[in-house]
Amino acid sequence: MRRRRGRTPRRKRDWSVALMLAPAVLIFLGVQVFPMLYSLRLSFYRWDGLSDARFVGLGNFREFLTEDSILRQLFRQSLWNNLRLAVMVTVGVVVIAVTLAWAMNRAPRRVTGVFRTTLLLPMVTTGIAVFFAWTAILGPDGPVVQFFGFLHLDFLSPDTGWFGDPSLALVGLAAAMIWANVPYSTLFYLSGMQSIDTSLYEAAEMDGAGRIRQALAITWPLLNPITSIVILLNVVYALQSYEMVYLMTNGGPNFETNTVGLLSYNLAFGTIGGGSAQYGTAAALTWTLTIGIGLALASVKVISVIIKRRTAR
Amino acid sequence: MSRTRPQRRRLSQRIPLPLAVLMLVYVVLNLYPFVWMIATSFKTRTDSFTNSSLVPHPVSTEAWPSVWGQMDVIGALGNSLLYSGATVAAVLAIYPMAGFVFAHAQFRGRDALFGALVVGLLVPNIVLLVPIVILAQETGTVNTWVGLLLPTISAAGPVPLYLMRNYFSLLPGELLEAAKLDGASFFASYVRIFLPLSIPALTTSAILTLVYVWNTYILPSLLITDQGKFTLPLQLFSLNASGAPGRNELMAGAILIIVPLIAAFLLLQRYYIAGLMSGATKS
Repeated sequence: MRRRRGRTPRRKRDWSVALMLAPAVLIFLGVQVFPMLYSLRLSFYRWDGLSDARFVGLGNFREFLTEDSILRQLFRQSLWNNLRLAVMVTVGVVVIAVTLAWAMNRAPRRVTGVFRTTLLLPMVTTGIAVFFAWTAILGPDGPVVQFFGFLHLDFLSPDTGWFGDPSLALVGLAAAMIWANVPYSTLFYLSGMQSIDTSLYEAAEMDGAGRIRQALAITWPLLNPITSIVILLNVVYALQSYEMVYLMTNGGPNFETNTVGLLSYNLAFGTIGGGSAQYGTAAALTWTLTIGIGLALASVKVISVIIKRRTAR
Repeated sequence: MSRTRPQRRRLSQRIPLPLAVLMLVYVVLNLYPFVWMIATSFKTRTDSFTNSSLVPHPVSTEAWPSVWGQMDVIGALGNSLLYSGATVAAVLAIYPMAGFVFAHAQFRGRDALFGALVVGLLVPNIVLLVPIVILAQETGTVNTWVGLLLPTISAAGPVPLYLMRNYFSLLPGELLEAAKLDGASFFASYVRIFLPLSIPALTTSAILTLVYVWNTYILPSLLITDQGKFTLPLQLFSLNASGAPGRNELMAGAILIIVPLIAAFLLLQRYYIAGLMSGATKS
């Protein structure tokens, strides 16, 4: 009965459904799928954009994966930087965001309103303007360097500024990334905390569990799904970052902050490779990065399943 | 019941002192870069390099007219408004509609298609950069708005699509059934019933897109070479790269970029947070 009545409108609906999806799907096919296929093909060629492209098979991949080349050293260093960034950013963001959300969840309304507005500032401003500000703040004679100089913490106040110092540059970059990513994650955690049934806490209180015990035994485990989203987002963010790095350090000093994405960018559009574009190698690098991120995500998934099983037991 | 309520209120009023201090430290650290930017923009050139404090010594407005002269602020502001306005309009026209279909229409392969459209978020956008620049050169769309807008829309779209799909699937399908009984087509019920109900999520999508486009540098820097079409970020970058600006000038230029965003955000923040959370927490 129901089906029959629905039949005529459904025919009509099929067309409107297709038409309503068409723009999104066409853009997806034309500006995402096609360029990706193009880039995949490009990764098997050597091409400087001027002379004829030359098919080299897996040659581009070999150059930075197995051959004894300068590019391989750069790739390894960049990848290592990416991984360190991922760890620093993820740990920093999770710790800060959980703490802030916990405090916000307990604070009175008046306080949270003001707090929320300041919390959200990085969300709307993260971009070239703030990157330049961070570069100056951490730069030579900048406030950070002078502050730590005042405290006589000399290893934190190099004359070159943080971004001129091989051991501090990456930390400075991670700090800026953490600053940019804390707000979203805090909001995620806050909404997670607000959805926890308060009767759980009341029961725990009756059993004599203190504030900290409650946080560790109730809040934190129930936030697991949020934590895995936050970890996922930050790991992906750190692994694929290049725009921020380009604008703040361009990989310097001496490639200490170079990332794989930035390496690819500079091979294609920048100065690495003697000024001639290396589109094929750049494309091969980005595909290696994509596959790497895919594998990382898959392993995070596997790990979280294992943890879930363990805790269920 | 009556006993637990006042107790809870008292509980929530009392933040442990360490936490209160921590929140305060965070607020200060969070605001510090902005205050520092403003302070620095009112220093003299030499002072801006040597004096890193929050107090200009002496106070000087020299940076502002100088940046105004070097950056073509009006032109760049116009280009930025055009670029982000067009992208936001296109994204809002295209992706909420698709999100509605994914939430309320039944067809084979629906979830797979949705997954394909959204999984692009996890593909590093550097993968697309090289082919898009080459394709723009080959099709002669470098320095055209179409050549810039298409990849920008494509990059900005998946997040609003995801948010809107989640938001629409929270709205009951009975609304659609009722509209159908009244003779409204699928599209008409989207426009007349569902769209007006989704203002918070639409606002969130608009702000997310605006923020992304307004701040984006790399893509336009590769697709736009004509100075007359430079957006604010491109102008700021060339100010930094070519003019050997003082920190005071650089910060004045930076402030020019973020002020419009902060203004837009303060106006819309209530909707923004509501929409962000309603869409984000439902998986």
